[in-house]
Amino acid sequence: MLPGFRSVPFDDATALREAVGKSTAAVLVEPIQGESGIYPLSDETLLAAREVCDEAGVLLIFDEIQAGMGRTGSLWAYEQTPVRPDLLTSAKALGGGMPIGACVTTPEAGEVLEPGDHGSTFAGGPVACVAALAVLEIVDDPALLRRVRELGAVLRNGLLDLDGVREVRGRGLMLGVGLEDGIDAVAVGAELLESGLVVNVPEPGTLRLLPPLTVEPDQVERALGAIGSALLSYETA
Amino acid sequence: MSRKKPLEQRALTTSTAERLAAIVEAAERAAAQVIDDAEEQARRRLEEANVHANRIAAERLREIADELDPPPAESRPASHLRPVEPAGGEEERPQQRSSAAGARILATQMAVSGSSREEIEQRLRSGFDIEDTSEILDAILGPED
Repeated sequence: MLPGFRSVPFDDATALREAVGKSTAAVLVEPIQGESGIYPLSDETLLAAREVCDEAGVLLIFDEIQAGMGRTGSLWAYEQTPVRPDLLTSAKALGGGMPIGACVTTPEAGEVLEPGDHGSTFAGGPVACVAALAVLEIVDDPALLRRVRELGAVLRNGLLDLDGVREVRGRGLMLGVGLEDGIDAVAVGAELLESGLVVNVPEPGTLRLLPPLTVEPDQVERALGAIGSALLSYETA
Repeated sequence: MSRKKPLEQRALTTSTAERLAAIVEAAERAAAQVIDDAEEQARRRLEEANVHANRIAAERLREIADELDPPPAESRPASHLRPVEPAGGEEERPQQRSSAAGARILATQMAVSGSSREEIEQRLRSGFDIEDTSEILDAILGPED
């Protein structure tokens, strides 16, 4: 974290309120924490963040680098929350493989930025920007986003039916699978890799699933079968 | 056979046309003047009506104010008005307000991003303690068929 940031405990609305003071410029949150294992912030915390930002006159920033660009079934993750940020950040999926990052603002917040205020050597590179525009054209399609939500629901419900799964967190095709106590997620992940399914283990006891937005229904079924088998073999081992 | 009119006849025609043009021009000027006068008169009457209406409204407001809060008399204390309790009983807590507004924003954002009625309803139920979601859904999506 860059100097000057103060972090507060996860999903603690009271701590968040108390951390905002006269010298606060902005509150930065990831609406669904990705790297730590897919943990969505509660509506209560997001509402508190919005409220305290409005009261103090500071900006609310959403980091949507992982949760944005259709990953949760809406173009931006904030669209499935009860608040609207003043700024959001996007990158990675935005370029569809080309390196790009973007800072998106409301018109009001954007008025304070002049050309050159927020730049870098390769900012606005035409090739990366054209790639991002092409990606946006594809991803910002209601049919694709609906498909993400529907397949996400299939994946979520299928996972919840598996033995060894304690909970499923996240939205759309951004899911964290909490395994029951005693199950070694690293071992399960390694076994899944052997069977051809790449999953991430961001923390002990959690599998992270971020399938491509173009995943096919039969691939979802195959993934469910593989995860079920891995969990079963672990239990019987 | 020549079709040309005699010189005198042509002069007469030109003269008649010029006179007609002058008459039409004079008529148009007169009409414009009548319109300007009418507009000016209408504007004046509207201003008078506004002044009159404002005077009546001010008098009425003064009367109402005097009825509610008469000028202090020697026999009564100057401050006799008591704070009025809110009609709704217990005041709505800020948390309830932000929660209700948040539910509406959530539903609106989901609707704009293409979510179905069922998806929004499910999300409202899971995120907010709302028993009847139909009011919000109807307000945003319109009544269900």
